[in-house]
Amino acid sequence: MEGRIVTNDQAEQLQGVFIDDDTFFNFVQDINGVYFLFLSEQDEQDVAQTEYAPLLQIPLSPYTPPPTPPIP
Amino acid sequence: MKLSLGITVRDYSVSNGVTYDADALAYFTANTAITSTADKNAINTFYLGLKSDGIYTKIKAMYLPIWGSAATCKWNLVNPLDTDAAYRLVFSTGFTFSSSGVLGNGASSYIDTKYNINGIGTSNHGAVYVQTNIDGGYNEFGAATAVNVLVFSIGTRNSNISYNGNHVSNSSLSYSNTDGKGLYINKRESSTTGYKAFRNGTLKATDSSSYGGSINFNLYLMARNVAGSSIIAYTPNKDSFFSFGDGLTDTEVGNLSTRINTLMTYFGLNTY
Repeated sequence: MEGRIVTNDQAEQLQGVFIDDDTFFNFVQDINGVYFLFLSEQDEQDVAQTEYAPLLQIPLSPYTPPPTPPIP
Repeated sequence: MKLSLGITVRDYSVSNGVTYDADALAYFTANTAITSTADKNAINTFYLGLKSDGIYTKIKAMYLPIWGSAATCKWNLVNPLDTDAAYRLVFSTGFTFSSSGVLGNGASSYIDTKYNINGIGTSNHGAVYVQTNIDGGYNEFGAATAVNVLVFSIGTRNSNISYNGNHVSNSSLSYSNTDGKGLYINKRESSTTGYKAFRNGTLKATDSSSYGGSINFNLYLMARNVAGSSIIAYTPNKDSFFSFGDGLTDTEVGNLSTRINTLMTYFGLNTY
């Protein structure tokens, strides 16, 4: 899986910020604590219309999720 | 001499010369993506069926996310207002919307119902219709006081086992399941009656454990909200229906399952 790497400041400033009436950013950390942004193609079209469009210029990088506890 | 007319009062409204159930019409008014008369008729039949079965008033929120966008999938069919108080959905980035459901990315996508499940308490149910068959530690809905402490959740298939949490500390109800697709319902009728898990309208497992305490956090769809501070179990599945609300009898679960599956069949989305 691939996503866009953002800085800690970007993630903290934009976490939970709405890009339109119905959709908000959610950044997650990889196994090394690096913040990633995952956008679907529909998200990309929506983001392109906003002030956050520069995020789309960030190249895609491979993502390794952090280990998770057993989830029954 | 008394004369009994045997009249049943119902709440109907008229739109463009067609009579719909008033609640169905409110949903059609809010969700402008529904333009087909055939679609409206099928959904109207769904509303009427839930009402004739005595289930509708037990549902606090239900969602039919098959309309291709966040703006059209967000509506609570029971109360289609664009407010948090009406449990209108808000979506994180990462989802793909289509006419067959909403697809998670399994890494970061979740939906906030704005529904604090403390409100449904000891008598509750949750339902989800899953379109995909993926094995892994995912939740189609979930809220918890800590990772695996008091949990309300459904996981369809993790190492070929379905897990259902319903307010029992460090315990969940499980059963063998090799196909993740289908309609899943997890329900409890009171604090002392234990809880049950159903798949495709069939009782799959029962646990007699009493209600272990409240979960005072919003219910998330397609992931698990852990104490409002972290999120786990992001699902990569595609889901096409959700409902939550009061506890249902086994008969009501069967009726609800039939109503949902009939609606899914109309849309070509039934998995059984």
